[in-house]
Amino acid sequence: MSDSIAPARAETREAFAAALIAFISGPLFARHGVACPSMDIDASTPLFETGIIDSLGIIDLLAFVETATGRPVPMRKVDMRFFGTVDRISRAFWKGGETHQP
Amino acid sequence: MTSCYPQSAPARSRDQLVTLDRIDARVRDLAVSIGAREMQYPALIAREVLEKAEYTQAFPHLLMSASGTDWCLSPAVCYHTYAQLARRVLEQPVVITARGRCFRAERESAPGVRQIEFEMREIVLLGAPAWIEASSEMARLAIETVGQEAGLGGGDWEVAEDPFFLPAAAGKALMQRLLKVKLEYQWPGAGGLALASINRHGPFFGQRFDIATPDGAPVHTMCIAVGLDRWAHHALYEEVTP
Repeated sequence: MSDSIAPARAETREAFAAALIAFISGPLFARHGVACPSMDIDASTPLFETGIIDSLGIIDLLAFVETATGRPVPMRKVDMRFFGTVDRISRAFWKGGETHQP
Repeated sequence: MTSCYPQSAPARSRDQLVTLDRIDARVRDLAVSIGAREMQYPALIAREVLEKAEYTQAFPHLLMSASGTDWCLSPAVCYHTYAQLARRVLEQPVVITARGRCFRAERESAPGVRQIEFEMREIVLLGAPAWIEASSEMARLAIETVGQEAGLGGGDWEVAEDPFFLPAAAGKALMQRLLKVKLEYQWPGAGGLALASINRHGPFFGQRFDIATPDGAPVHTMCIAVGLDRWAHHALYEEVTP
């Protein structure tokens, strides 16, 4: 993933979700020209059934999540339960306050 | 039976062949019981079929071909089925079963585990998405039943991905895992070796080979692949059916 679409660390889960939506709607559409660029995406929009994320986009999506959280995504969590929507991604991967622990 | 020369697959004694045929017959019977038509396909397949299926892009490292020709050695049975039904409208769901020799240029091989040449029984289903989904659960039960009978019960169904040519197809592998399109029946008695797989392809092959349902939509497909060499190598029939 290029530096231009690397995310800043989000302070809240809501901010993480907002950054993720902005990433999918903007740089990801621009990079891969996926099927439905005019679709409005919100936190509950199915990302895969709608074709918003395809086999090219998934690589960048994972890279975004790993950069934004500072942690690798384990293969066991590459699952629709954790990746089906922006809301699920946020709940699964954003860990509030961890970076501020002593 | 081993040789001092390299072998693409182990030579089989009569007893080993009986075991392999017994497993195959059981899977074939299950396929026929759900309405499968049995087919026999050749070992060679036209390169253009594999190109249409995008096998040449996804798995170029595994493809073996007949030198100086446009023929390849079949890497799986089901590609023959899609070619056979190409440019057709299926009035009803179709189930095909076939046993065939398959060839993949594996870098390392071990008898009964990973072979360059192996036998596979496949059940290929083509139809509407809901029917495919419903059939998936049936397929799991069928494989578990055959496993129990062969002393290979208690396997785990695990999400898996095909060995795509990386890194270009890394995203395809991740999508397979994410959408759970490939499930493997892994047997703990052999370190989690995959004895069978259920592969849901969605409309991919229907689109690529122009196979449609009566409403004009591309058929969805699923194949159930049983690696007969692996089953025969590990089967314990004598312990469960003396």
